[in-house]
Amino acid sequence: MKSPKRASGATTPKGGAKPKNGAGSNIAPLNDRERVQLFADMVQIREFEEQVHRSYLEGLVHGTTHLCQGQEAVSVGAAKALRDDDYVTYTYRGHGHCIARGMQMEPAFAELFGRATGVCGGLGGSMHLQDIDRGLIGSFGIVGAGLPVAGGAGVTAQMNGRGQVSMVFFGDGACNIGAFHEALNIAQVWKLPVLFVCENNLYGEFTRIEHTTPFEDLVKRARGYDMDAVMVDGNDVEAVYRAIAPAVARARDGGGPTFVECKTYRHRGHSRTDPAKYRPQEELEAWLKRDPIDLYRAKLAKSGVLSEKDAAKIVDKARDAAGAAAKRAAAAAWPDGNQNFTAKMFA
Amino acid sequence: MPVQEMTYREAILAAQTEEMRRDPKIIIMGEDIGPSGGPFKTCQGMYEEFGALRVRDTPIAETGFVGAALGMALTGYRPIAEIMFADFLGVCFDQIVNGIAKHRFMSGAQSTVPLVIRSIGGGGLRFGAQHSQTGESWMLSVPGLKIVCPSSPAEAYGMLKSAIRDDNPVLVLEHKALLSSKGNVDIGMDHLEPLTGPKVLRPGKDATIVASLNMVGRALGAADKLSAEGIDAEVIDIRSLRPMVIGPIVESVRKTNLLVVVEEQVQVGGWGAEVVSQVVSEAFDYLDAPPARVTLPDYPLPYSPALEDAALPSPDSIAAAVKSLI
Amino acid sequence: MDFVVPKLSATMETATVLKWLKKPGERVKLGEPLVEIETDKAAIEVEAPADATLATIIAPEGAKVPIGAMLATLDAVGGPAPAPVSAPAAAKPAKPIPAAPSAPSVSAAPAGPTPVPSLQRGAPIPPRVLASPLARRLARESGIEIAALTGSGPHGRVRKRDVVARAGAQGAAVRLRTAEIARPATWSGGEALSAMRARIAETVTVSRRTIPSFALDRWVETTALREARKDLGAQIERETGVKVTVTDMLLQALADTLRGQPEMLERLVEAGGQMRREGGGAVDIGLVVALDDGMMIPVLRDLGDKSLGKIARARRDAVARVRAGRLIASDTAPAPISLSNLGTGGADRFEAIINPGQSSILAIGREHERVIAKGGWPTVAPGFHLTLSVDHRLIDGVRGARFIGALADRIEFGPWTAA
Repeated sequence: MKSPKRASGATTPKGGAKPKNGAGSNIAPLNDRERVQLFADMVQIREFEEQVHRSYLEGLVHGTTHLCQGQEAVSVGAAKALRDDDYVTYTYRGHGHCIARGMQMEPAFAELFGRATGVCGGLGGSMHLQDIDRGLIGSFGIVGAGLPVAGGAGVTAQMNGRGQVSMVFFGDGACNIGAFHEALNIAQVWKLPVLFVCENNLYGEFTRIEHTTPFEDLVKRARGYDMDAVMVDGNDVEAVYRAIAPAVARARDGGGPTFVECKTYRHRGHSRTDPAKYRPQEELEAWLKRDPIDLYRAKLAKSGVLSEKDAAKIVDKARDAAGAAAKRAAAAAWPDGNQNFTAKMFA
Repeated sequence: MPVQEMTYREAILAAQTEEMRRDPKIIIMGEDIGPSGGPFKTCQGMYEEFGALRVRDTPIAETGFVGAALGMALTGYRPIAEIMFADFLGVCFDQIVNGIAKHRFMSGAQSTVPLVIRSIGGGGLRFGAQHSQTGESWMLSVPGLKIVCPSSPAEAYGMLKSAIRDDNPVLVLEHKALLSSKGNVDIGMDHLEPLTGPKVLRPGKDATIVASLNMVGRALGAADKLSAEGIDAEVIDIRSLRPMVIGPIVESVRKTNLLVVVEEQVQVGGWGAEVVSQVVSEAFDYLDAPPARVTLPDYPLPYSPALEDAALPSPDSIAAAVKSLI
Repeated sequence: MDFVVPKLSATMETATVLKWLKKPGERVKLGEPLVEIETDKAAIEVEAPADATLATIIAPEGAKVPIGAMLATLDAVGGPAPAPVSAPAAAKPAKPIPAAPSAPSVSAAPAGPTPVPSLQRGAPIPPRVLASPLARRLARESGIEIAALTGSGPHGRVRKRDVVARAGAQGAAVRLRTAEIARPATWSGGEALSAMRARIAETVTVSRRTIPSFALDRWVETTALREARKDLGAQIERETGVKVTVTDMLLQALADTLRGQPEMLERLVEAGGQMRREGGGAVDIGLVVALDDGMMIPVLRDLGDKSLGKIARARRDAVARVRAGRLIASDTAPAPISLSNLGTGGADRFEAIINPGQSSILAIGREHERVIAKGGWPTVAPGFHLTLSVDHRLIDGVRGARFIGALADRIEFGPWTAA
């Protein structure tokens, strides 16, 4: 248990996956092509978020938005363990999860810009990206609200009997709200195939975790429900994958839910208007040194899987693609004020 | 198809059971609804027939299982959530108002949300303030939700079937004082009642009385009292609060020139205000007196029997309201 | 909902859309005029069948459309359009140009707003009459001044029953529609005209402007008429409960004479810019009924071979309807002639104004004694003036003189029978 007053240094997680029942041994190792793809996926999310940042400064993104730079390894590592017919629920910091599951950048930008070509026709906005055909069933603006919904998708998966799972992403702040507790309890009691993936970035909005929660390792919450729980370094994409994949496999097999705590950190503030001055400089710098993309880039270079030159090409390509997608999205039309809104509400 | 006399409770049970036989995607969840058949016996025998996967006893966790209903509806199932007391809608308010009601719209119509929330509410049975609300006005200002109020066994049967078959979220507000009331129900797999539209239950020409749920019977009682005094009142069951269809009520007021709305709600924020507002707008030149409302007093419903009875609109108080306009 | 071309007369087959009175997107109220159409007989305003928004105009101005064709689509307000409860007709019955007066049922929309004094800054706020919206509308439609009523409701509020009670004593308003004549100018200074007064002003102005008339005069002795009224009147009253009046007897005499000279039943009708004479109709006679600040002329139908008792009953019923403001369709049918009996008034004779759409009008002056010559000897006899005004475009002097002579004979010599 770390000292709650510690202000500097990264929280060092207790190492890799610790699955119960030893199911981890069944997960096939990743090949080089897959590794490069993991890197490219993280880069794409990063470039998308950086472009959102730039577009916001240009006045193209309205209201506010919640960026996830620094947390890409969680989205990408988790997505790697999923099938096309699995369900994913996420939060208002959800761009990364959507891109990781294959949402196209242009309609995503268009949604943030409020255009008619946005994934939700401009009706949802940054906090509500959704793509039901990719199993991205909903993004919830109310903290914790998605967990019971993910439980429901878990019931569906259980009823369908095809081995589907329901994965839900949420932050450390959600672990204190009623919906969280009810969802974990029901999932455990009904043995639902739900993966509760907690992105513990140490801050619930502007408040550091020790002020709101009795402990920093949120796996303890899950164990309170007698649920299998795993803690993992959320900035190591392969570690995330190796932690989640066995839990997913067990859920597919009827083994019930798992809580996966990913220790991570967000580079930017809570939302666009937050300069995050409440975070100690040393803490921020220590975590920036553990940037998941830099870490993986170095690892792949060291093991000869991806040269620096090729990595740089991937980054440039992603940056250009994001820029182009944003440009196209910015040229799109506004939604029709005379459209049939009732039909958008009722089927 | 046979017309049977049955209770409101039996009508609910019949509708649910028939629909679950028809469509394997329908799942029902709620507290104590499994082997116990539900605290109000509205699910009697369903657990035995459909099993634990389709008839799910939930923990006491309205947010948890109403949220789960949304998740199931988004992924191809058609859940029914039974809320034991309408007052508990307050517990899962966020899941309903911010989640269920808004989900399809925010997604740009990607999602369809075919779910039913049934709550059993209402006063008059001495359950006290936290177990006696009907739930009618709490979600009135939430677009994206349908709200219906069955006042008889036939409506309970037919509207519940329609609600289950509707591809949108429907809040069915049942009334516990009506559970044992009897009425004729035309049983049949496809015998549906529409989810919108008021119905004239008793035609008349001297005054229009609009009511819902348990107040419908009291309004009819008031009409009987009035007719003994030579006043011929028309009684309308509003049936559906969202969407609210005002046409037949306007038509009635054009004929009678007088309007009384009876609600088991407090005055401020009660749905009757919306009825009055729309009628004044549509039938202004036909009103011979200001519309009147008969509502609960503006404090929580008291427990003690005489106090509770005095608080609820009665045939006498409704008749007096009509006479005050004549 | 569909807004279609109504059938406004037996002979109507098509109509031409003259003028849309609303634009798409504008709201209309039940009974409010929505479009002007021209039929074979007249230009008529067609009223909206429900409270609605005009959605799409399908027949534009100038279009010629058959009966039942779509004129426009309306979006009924508040869900599916309810069937109108008080069922005013979608359009008034056809009238020749210039239109004859036609009266609405009480629940139809008013012809126009009663002018309201404008409120200038600093001007004292005029005292407000307390009245229910329904009472205001009924008063407006009936031409009753609401400020003159005492209200039976709370705070002295005037209510429907108060207006109805007054209408029963006084009668309802006349509505006149014509496509060609401009509405009368708002009178400045003094008080504005009530709706009924304005309509009468319009009617008589049209008549004087468009009908070249001349008058024929004849004094008739009423001795025989008086006798007959005493005898037959008692008998008829015993049998039917209806009191026979001089007017009833005049109506019978007039009907008889018209039967004998059917060319007096002709009317001049303007259709498509042409004048045509229309004859062969039944013996329909309008009866001028006086009201508080105006009058109304219900038409008594088919008096040609009606008994005195039947005529008396028809007259009584029509007058009652007029006074209650509840005219029926036949009251506003076209007619060739009207009767205006001021026999109990102060004028020896007067020349009535022909009702537009009709061809003549018979005015009855004061009944009084006079010295006359009979068989060369002076004698005193009761009687009154008949003054017949006729439309010279149709009726020349010879015909008019022949008619009034025949009528005079009929009145003086009978036969007066109850049958």
